[in-house]
Amino acid sequence: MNKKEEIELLKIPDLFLRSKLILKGYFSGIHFVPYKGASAEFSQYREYVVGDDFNRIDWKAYLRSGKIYVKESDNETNTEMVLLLDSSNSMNFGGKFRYAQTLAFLFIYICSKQNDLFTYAIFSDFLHILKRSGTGKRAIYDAARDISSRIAKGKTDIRPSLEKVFEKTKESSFVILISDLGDDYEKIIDALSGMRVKKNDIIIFHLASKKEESKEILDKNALRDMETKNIIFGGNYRERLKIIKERNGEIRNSSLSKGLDYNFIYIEDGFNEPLSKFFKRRMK
Amino acid sequence: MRFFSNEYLILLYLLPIVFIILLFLKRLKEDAEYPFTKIFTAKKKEKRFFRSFIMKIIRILLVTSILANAILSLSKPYIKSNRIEHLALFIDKTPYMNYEIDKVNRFIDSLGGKEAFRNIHIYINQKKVKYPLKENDEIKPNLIEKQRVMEHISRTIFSYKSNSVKSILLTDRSFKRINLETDIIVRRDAPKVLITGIGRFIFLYSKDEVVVELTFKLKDKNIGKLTVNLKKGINKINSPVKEFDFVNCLYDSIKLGRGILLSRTNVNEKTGNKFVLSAIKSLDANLEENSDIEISYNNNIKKGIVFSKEDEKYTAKSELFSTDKNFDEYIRNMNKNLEYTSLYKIKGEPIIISKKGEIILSNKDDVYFVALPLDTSKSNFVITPSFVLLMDQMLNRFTGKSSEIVNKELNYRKELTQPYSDYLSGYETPKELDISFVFTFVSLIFLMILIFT
Repeated sequence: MNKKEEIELLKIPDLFLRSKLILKGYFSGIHFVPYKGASAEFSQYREYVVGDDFNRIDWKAYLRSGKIYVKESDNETNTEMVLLLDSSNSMNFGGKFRYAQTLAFLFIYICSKQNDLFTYAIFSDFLHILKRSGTGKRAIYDAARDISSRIAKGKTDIRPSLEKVFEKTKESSFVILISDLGDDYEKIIDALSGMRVKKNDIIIFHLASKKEESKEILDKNALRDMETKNIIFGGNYRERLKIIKERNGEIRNSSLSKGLDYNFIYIEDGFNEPLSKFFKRRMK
Repeated sequence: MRFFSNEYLILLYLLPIVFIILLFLKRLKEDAEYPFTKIFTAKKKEKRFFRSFIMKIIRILLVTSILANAILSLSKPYIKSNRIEHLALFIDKTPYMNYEIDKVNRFIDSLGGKEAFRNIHIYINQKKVKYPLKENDEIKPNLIEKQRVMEHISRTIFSYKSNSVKSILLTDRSFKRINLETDIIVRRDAPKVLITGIGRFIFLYSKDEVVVELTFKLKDKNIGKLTVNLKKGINKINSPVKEFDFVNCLYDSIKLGRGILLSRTNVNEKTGNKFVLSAIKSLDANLEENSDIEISYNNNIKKGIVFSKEDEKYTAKSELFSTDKNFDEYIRNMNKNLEYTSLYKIKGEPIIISKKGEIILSNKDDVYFVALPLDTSKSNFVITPSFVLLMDQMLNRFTGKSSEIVNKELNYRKELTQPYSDYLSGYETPKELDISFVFTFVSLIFLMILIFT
């Protein structure tokens, strides 16, 4: 599946289905750290019931007692993923929000497959949803419903939302921000770097559309802000492109200097290429 | 301030619309949505934003100013001045219009010259000549049709697009009033004796009783002379020669170009119609046997005067031309079906044809109406004043008598014998200065600023 086909997949309305298709197509090779109980802590024994996995029968206990017991363990792990999804109006540009929804759910799905707990927050200028998942399939369905039902509108103001999320974040979590960083990036990075106090691993997915840098748009005399509706005049393609590139460079440098994992993604590049890079880097 | 073409001023009302269109249409046209524009309006860029916005407004103001100035320039604004903007002097240089360069210059000086007029234009026979006139500005005399002279004056005055135009026509002919503003000054320096008619009779106009010698240059290059006593007014003298190409009387002479047959036209009249006879008589034509032209219904006669008629029924031209034989039938048949009044309206093309149907002479440019077919003893042929004119013209053309050039010359001389008067309009030309160049200049300056900013 090439980039174009991946982008085509984004047209599938069902978030769950399109995420699964993307995952099956491209992440089949990625090892999801399958749960084998090695990292799971022992919880209790219970009697075998029809349908239980034979591998989980504790044969030693059977020899001791003559009864068939199944070994149960807690699903909890030490890691938790906190996903922050920007749903401001600017995310509507070029289909960024649909991409962001899919990307967010991909992480939730992977997380869920690993039996990791996850928290997801959807925000614009205030926090719309902040939910900590339970376990099992229900949690993932709930997340899919919450994320897919959200419409991108409102302005970008990440700071108040981050403060609320920060309160509920446990230590040593993965915090993933998916946003186009339309707000003042210094404020965002400051707020995110503040979360590192809890030894969190902060990952930023900075989404952009290539249309934002196209001559067709940047060469226009007037640009209307999608969030504020303000119109700015003057400037030309070269000047504006330079500003955008400079800003992206500053965000990257600022993020890296504060120990944040910064990932810039053009949504036109699909999922495979940027995420492969991301996972490869993380595996090192 | 007055405007010559104030109708253009209405365009000024449209300028605000232009302004709004420029302001908003461009904005709409170049407007595009962008996720967040804050990045472009960061502090360090704010100045640039305002500058570009102000520049845009300035550009629009410049465009509207250019248009406004162009409109004002187009409207030809005038302000009060101590001089008249234009003096247009038209000189109708006819053969006897005796204008002298000094005289013209003095005439203009008497009007005030450069002190009274900002621009002085002189036209001699429609050719522009610079003021003051010099010796080599002499223009060959020419008899330009009066209609063309008047058209030229009107067109020239209009071309100035100014309220401040004083126009004068110097001529020796009689012109009807050209317009309200143009003064017509008539000065006649014609000789005392003028040749006003050539033909079987020579007509001479004399201002006084005088004895003169008429000189003819004959076709065979011989010279014929005749001494006559002229009375005051028009004198009718029998032409002593049949053919000549030049005639002179005292200071007046007429060159006829190719030799002109001045003998009376010989016509062989065979119809016996009393009206035709009287028409021929009135035209000074000789009734002679074996002449070149015969008027007849007789089938045996080779030549005759006939009409042709434009009729949709006939497609071939040959069918329209009738010999005197079928013409008779044609007229008769036509009368059976047509009422007199409707026949009167039918256009006819006068021609002279041979019996074989070959056109000897035709006059397609002139249109005559076939006159009412009155009851005559031998035919329905019509003798009316229009027929007499037709016949006269056809006879003249057939014999090559009196070309148009000669007619023009003779008419001019006849006119010089008529009483005349000046026409002074009494119109006080306003003293104004055209300042449209100021607006044009400003418009150009703004245009340059617009281009280089």
